Amino acid sequence: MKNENKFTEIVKRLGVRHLIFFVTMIVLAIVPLFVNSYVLKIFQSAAINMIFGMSLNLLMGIGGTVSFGHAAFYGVGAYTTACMWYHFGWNFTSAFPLVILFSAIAGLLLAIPMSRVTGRYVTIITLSYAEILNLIMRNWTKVTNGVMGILNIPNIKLFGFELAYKDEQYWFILVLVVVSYVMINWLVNSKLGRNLQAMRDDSIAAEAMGIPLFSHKVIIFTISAIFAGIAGALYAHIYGYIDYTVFTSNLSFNCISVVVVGGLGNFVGTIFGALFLTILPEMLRNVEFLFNYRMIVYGVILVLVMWWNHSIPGAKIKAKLRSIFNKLIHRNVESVEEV
Amino acid sequence: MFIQLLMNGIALGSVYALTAIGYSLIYSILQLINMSNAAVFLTSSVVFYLLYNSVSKGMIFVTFILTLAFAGCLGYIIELVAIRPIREKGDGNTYALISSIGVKTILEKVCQGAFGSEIHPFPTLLAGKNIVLWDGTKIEWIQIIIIVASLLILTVMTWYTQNTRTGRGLRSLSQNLNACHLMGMPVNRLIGISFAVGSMLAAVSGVAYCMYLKSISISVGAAIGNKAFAATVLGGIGILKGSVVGGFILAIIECFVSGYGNSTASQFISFGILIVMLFIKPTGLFGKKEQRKV
Amino acid sequence: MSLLEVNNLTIAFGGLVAVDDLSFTMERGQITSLIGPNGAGKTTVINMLTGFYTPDSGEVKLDGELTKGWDTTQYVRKGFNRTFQNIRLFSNLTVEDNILIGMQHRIPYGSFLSLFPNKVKNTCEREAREEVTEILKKIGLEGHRYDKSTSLPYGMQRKLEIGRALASKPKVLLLDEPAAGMNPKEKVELSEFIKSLLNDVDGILLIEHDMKVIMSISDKIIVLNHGAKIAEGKPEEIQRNPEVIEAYLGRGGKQHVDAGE
Repeated sequence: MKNENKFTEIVKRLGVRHLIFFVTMIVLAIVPLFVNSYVLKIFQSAAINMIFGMSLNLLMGIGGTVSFGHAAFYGVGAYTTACMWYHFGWNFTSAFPLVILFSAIAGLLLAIPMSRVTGRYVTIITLSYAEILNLIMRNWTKVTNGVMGILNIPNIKLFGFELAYKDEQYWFILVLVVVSYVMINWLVNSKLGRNLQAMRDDSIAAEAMGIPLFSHKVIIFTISAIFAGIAGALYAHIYGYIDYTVFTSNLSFNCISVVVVGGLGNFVGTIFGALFLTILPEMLRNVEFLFNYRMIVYGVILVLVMWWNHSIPGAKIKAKLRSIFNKLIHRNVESVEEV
Repeated sequence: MFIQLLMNGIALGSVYALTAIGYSLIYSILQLINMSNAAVFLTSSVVFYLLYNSVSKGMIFVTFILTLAFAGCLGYIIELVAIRPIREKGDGNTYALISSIGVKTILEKVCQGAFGSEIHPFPTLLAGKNIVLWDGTKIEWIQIIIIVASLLILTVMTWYTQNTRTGRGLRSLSQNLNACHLMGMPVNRLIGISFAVGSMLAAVSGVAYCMYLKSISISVGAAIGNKAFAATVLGGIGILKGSVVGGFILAIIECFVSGYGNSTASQFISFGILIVMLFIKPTGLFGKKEQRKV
Repeated sequence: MSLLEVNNLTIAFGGLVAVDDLSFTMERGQITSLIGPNGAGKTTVINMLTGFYTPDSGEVKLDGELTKGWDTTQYVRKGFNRTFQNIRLFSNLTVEDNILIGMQHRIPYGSFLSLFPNKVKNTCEREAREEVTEILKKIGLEGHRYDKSTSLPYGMQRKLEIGRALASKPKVLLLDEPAAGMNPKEKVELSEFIKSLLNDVDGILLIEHDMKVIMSISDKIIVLNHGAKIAEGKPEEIQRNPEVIEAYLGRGGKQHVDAGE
C-alpha cells in the first residue's frame, strides 16, 4: 500500500506524459539486445527522426509556425559535420559546436524575413528558403562536393572513443533524444515557452500583453534549427554518406508527417510518430508488391490523420466510437452491480 | 540568340503561367496553397505518356483529351476526398494544406512506383521542324504551338470567368465564401470545379512541358511545381493576372540568365527574385497591401 | 498633471479619416468613457493608445511623458493595457497561464534563463504564481485556475480578459465593450466590478454601447461621431446634449425626445 502511494506520487510529479516517455526510452534502450543489425539500423534512423521531429514540433506545436523547409536545417547540420571532416579531418566532437553554430545561423536567417510577413507567406518563405539552401548544397562544389556528395564519413568519435558498433551508436542517439526531450520541456514550461504558446494562440493579444513577437520568433527558429542540425549531423555520421538529394522538400514533408501523427505540441507523440513512420515503410519493403509503393504511406497517413482529427466525418466517427466505448463500460458496471 | 532566348522564355513562361493559375485560383477562393497541384502536373504527364503508348497509340489529340478528362476528375476527387471534409470542419487552412501535401506525396510516389526513375522519350508535335527567321534563328514549331495554345486557354479562361454563370460564381466565391453560402450558391460544387479547372490547366502545362523537352522523368513535377509556385507568389498569390505575368517574367529572366550567364545561376535566380520580392513587397507585384485588423 | 493627455490625435486609412483631431484628458482615479455610434472610431483610439496603430499626427502623454516612438512592448511596460471587443484569450492555455502572460513583463527573468532550470527562474515563477492567486480572487475565478480558458462561460471569459490586463499592473486600463453580450443582471455586476478596479489602476478608459453602464459609472464621457469629438462632459451633461442625441437618433431625434419627455 505504501509503495503504491509512492508510485502515484512519482507519477504525479513527473506527469503521465513524461513517465510514458521514460518507459519508452527504457524499452527502446534494450532493443539492441534482441534484434539483428539490419533492424537496429532502422531503429537508429527512427531515433534520429525523433530528434528531428521534436525540433519541428517545437516550432509547429509551440511556436505555431508550420515550417515547410525544416530539411534545410537538417542539411546544414549534416553538411557542417561532413565538411569539417572532409576538408579538415575534424571528428564529431570537435565539429559539434560548429554544427550548433551554423544551424543556429541558418535558423536566424530564416527568422528575419519571417518577421516581415504575415501568416500565409510562412509557407512560401520556408519552402523557398529550403530550396535555395538545397541549391547551394548542390552547386557549391568546392565545399559540398556538389552532386557527388560526401562519402565515407567516419563513425562518431566522442573525445577519442570511437562508436564503432551499431548498438553503441544507437545508445548515444537515444541519450541525445532524452537530452533534447528534457531541454525542450524546460523551454516549454518557462516564461519563454508560455509566451510562445500565447503567440501561437493569438498573436494580436500576445502583442497587446507586451510580448516582443519578433525576438521570440527569432529565438524559437534558432533553437528549433539547432536541434534539427544536431539530428542532421547524427544522420551524416550514422549513414556515412550525404548528398543534396537527401535534404529536399520531401524530407520536410516527412518530418511534418511525424509531427502531425504524434500531435502538435505533444513531444511524446512525436517519439511514437517517428517510430511508427520509420518502421512502417521498412515493413512494407518486405511485401513484394508494395516495394515500389511503400513511401506512399507518408501521404496516406497525412491525409488519414487530417481526416481523423480535423474533418467532420472524422469527428462523427470519433463521437460514435466514444459512445460505444462508454456504453461498454456502462454495461460492465451494471453487470458488476447485479452480481 | 536574343530572339531564340526570348521565344524559349515565352514558351516556358506559358507552362509556368498555366500551372500558376491553378495555385492562384484555389488560393483566391480558399486561401489554401494547394500543394497537390505540382503532383497533378506530373501525374497527368505520366498518364498522357502511358495512354499514348498503350490505349490510344499514336493519336496525340485523342490522348490529350483523355488526359484532360482524367485531370479534371482527379482534381475534383482530390477536393472531394482530401480537402472538403477538412475545410468544412473549419479548424484552419493549415490542416487542409497538410492534407494536400499528403495527396501530393501519394500521387508522386504512385507515379514513381509505376514509372521508375528513368527518363523516357515523350511524343511531340511536328518534331524536328523549325521556323528559320531572317537572321537564321531557328524556332521550334512546338514552342509556337505551346504559346498559341496557352494564349488561347488564357483568353477562354478570362471569357469564362467574366461571362458565364459558373465563372461569376467562382469570382464571387473568391470575394466572400460565407456570403455565397448564405446566398444559396452550390459552394461545394463550385470549389470542386475550381479544383478540376486548376488540375486541367496543370495537365495542359505538364503535357506541353514534356512535349517541349521531348522527354519525361519523375522529376518534372517537382521542378516546375516549385517554379510555378514562385511565379504565383511573384505576381501576388490569389491574383490570376499576377500569376500569368509572374510566370512569364520568371521564365524569361531564367532563359536569359542561362543563355548569357550559366545554368546554375538560372536555378538560383528564380528563388533569388522571389526572396527579394518577399522582402520588398510580400504581397507580390499585383497584390494590395493588407490593412492590419485588430 | 492629468494621467493621460491626448492632443489632436488623427489617423486615416486610405482616404477615410477614422479619428479626426481628437483631444481629451483622463484624470487619476476616474473612469473616462468613450461613446459613439458604430464606426465612430472608438476602437481605433484604443488601438492607437496601445501602439497597434501609429497616428498620422497628434501626441499622447502618459504622466507627462510622450509616447512617441514606443513599440507595443513599451506601451505595456509603461502602463497601458487593454481588453478586446471580441474576446481574445489564449485558447489552448489555462486560466493561470493566461494571467501569467498578462504579467509576463513583470516576471524578471529573460529568454536565456528560460532554457534551463535555475534558481532565478524557480523563484520568479513561484512568486508569479502566488500573485496569480490574488488576481484570481479579485476576478472571482479561484475555482477555475487550471481550467482551459475557452471552457469558461462567456461572462467569466470577459472577467479573465480583464484579469489578464490587470496582471500587468497598468496605469491606464482600456476596456473595449466589456458588457457586450451580457444580460441586465450581469451588466449591473460588471459595472460594480469595473468601479472596484479603480483600486488597482490609476484610470480606466471605457468603451461601451450600453448607456446604463456608461451613465452609472463614468466620471467623464467623450462622444465621438465620424472620428471627431462632438461632446465631452459629465453623464448628465451628455444626456442633454442636442448634438449627441442627433448623432444617435438622427436629425429630428431631438424633437422626438422632447415630445417623449
